[in-house]
Formats: sequence, structure tokens, C-alpha cells
Amino acid sequence: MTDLVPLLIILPALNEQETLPGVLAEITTALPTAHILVVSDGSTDATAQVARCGGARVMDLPFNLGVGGAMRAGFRYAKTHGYTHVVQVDSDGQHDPALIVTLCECMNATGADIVVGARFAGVGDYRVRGPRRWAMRLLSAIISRVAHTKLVDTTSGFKLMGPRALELFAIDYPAEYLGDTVEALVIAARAGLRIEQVAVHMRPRAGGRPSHNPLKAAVFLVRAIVALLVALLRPRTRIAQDSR
Amino acid sequence: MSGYLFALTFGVLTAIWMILLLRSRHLREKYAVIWILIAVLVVVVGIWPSILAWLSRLLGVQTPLNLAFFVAALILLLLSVQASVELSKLESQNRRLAEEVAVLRTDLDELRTVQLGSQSGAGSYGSGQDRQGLQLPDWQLQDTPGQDLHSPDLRGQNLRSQDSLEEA
Repeated sequence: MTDLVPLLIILPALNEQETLPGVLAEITTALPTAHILVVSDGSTDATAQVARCGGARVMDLPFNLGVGGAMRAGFRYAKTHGYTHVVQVDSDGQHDPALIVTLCECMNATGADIVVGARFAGVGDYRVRGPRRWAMRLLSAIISRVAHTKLVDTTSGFKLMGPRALELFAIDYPAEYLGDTVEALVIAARAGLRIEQVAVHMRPRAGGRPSHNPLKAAVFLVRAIVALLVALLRPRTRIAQDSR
Repeated sequence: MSGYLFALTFGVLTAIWMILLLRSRHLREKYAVIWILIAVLVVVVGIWPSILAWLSRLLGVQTPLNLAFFVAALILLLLSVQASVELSKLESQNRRLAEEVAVLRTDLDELRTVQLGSQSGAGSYGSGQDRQGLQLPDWQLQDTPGQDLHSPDLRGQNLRSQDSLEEA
């Protein structure tokens, strides 16, 4: 299926000139027919040039909008250009592009509107500890209830969105911190979209290490809860009936 | 009495200041009106302090000045909430504009590349490259969404690609 429909792969990138060429090369090898859009989120390095050289289309945001803003711009691009399926992939090399096919297979098999590549679902050795882990557990417990399906990794940035999700997210995609992951899933679930997950392994980031600072983790916990509460308090977004 | 005189001067000065700001278009009426109203209120109470005393008797507030403080705090609260709401609205409009600009700029880049390609016969970089370098199947070249830019019937294309998805 992936080679019938032009799939759009969106990579939100903030100063990723080192890792981007490798990621782009991997994507083109894994999915030669897919189109790639790099959204440079106010990058101050050569991200845009590097992406162009790698054969991707480049959307250059005038200033930093965060992952949520970058993705919303990407969704708008996808919609105005008639794409039906969009994959979000991190540009730091954490996600293995070969797994995009796995996401697509899951969407085909289940008919889901959103497929999340989940890190804790038994594959790979991705681990977090302390408050951050509690926060992620709590989030997944609550969002699983809202979405009526088991979701273990609600903060994953590796997702496949189908036509109905695209329709919704082009209008309503939160730009706040954690909004693009947690809140977006809540919005989708409450709009009646089907969400599924696929276990994926994560690779260590090509540059920089994830932080294990307990204070930062506590801040993450608080912000995650705030983001979730705000998401649950907001009125539902309706998608147009003819979107299918 | 001198305290009221002070309030009177303050009220008059605030009103004049607001009118000057309005004149020079540094302040929109929407925001100036409330400040002018507050200034007028302060002037009125400054001239007839008995109004405050009468009002506080009416509301059961023992010290008239406490009523003045309460009302002042309430007005400031409302104004700062209003300012936050306006700020949030502006921020989200600003974001939308940035996104919109980025989408348009990408389209423009693509159009330019296509134009350059048709003039010189070879696209040298960007979106032209992935099409030429990777030998896509013929139908997909026709269906390439990047070229929807030129086709007025975008909706039809959209449906077609979805149909092929459901058949698959």
C-alpha cells in the first residue's frame, strides 16, 4: 500500500544538520517512493540546505514554533497538496525508518486512523525511571481509557496518520508543550478516531543523551498532568462528515 | 481633603494621558475607553467624596476606603485577565501566520524549481531531485501531489488516491 499512495513523511527538525542526512538517506532507502518534508523549526544552522541536498522538500518556519507548530504546518501542507497519509518521524535518528512499513501494515490490518509507534510495548530496551516513568504510566493509563484501547507510549513522536486524522489535525493541532503528543491523542480519541499502537524499538539518539535529572522529570510530570487536564477540559472538535 | 485632591489630580492626568495616547494611535479605543472611564470615576469620587461614603453604607462596608481598594483591585484583575486573553489570541494568530507563511514559501520554492526545471531541462535540487533520481512509476508521476499545484481540481485527485488505497 505504501508504494501505491504517495506517503508524506514529515520530519520536524530544530538544528539537526548533523543527523539529518543519515536519516534522510535511510528513509529513501527504506521507502523510495515516499515524499519527505523537513520542517525546519526556526533552525539557525544549515538544516534547510542539508535537507534539500538530501532530496527532501523543506518548509522553513520563520521562527521557532515547537514540534506542535511544525507538525500543524506540515499537516496543512499535506492537506493542501492532497496527501492522504502522513508519518511523523524524529529527525534525530531515534526512529528506524524501516519501521514505517510496520506502521502502515498495522493501519491496513486494523483500519485505524492513527498508528503510534510505541517504545515500551515489549520490543527494544528503551527504559525510563523515577518520576518520568510514573508520569508516562499515568498518562498512558488515562489516555487508554479515553481512547478505548491500550496505549503504552503516549509521548511517542513516531506516528502514522490516515485521512481522517489528517483532516482533524490540519484544523486542530495543539502547539503547547506535550500538546503534540498527549493532547493530540486526546483530541483524536474524542473526535471518534481509532488509535492503534505497534511495538517498535528505539535507537539511541545520534546526538545528545536523554536527561535523567529527577527535578526535570518532576517538572515533566506536572506539565504532563496540566496538558492532560487542559486536553480533557476542552470542547470536542468535530470533523466534517465528508472527510472520508 | 488633600488626599482627595491627590486623587483628583491623578484622575485628570490619567484621562489626559489616555487621550494623548489615543490621538497618537498608540492605544486603540477598545482599551482606552475603560481607562478613561476609570479616570472619570476617580475624578467624580475626588470631587464628591460623599458618594464613596454613601455607597459603602449602602453595601455595608464599614470603612469607605476599603470599598475603594476592593473596587480598584477588582478592576485591575479584570483588566489583566482581559490582557492575557488578548495576548493568547494574538499569539495563536501569530503562530497561524507563521505556519501559513511557511506553507506558502514552500509552495513558492517548488514552483520556482519546477519553472527552472522546465526552462533548463533539468531540475538541479530540491523536489525535482527525488522524482528524477528514483525512477518512480509512471502513474505516480502523474499523481504526484506536488503537481497538484497546477491542477485546479484538487478534490478529484484527492479522491482518486484514496480509492486506490481502499482497493489495495
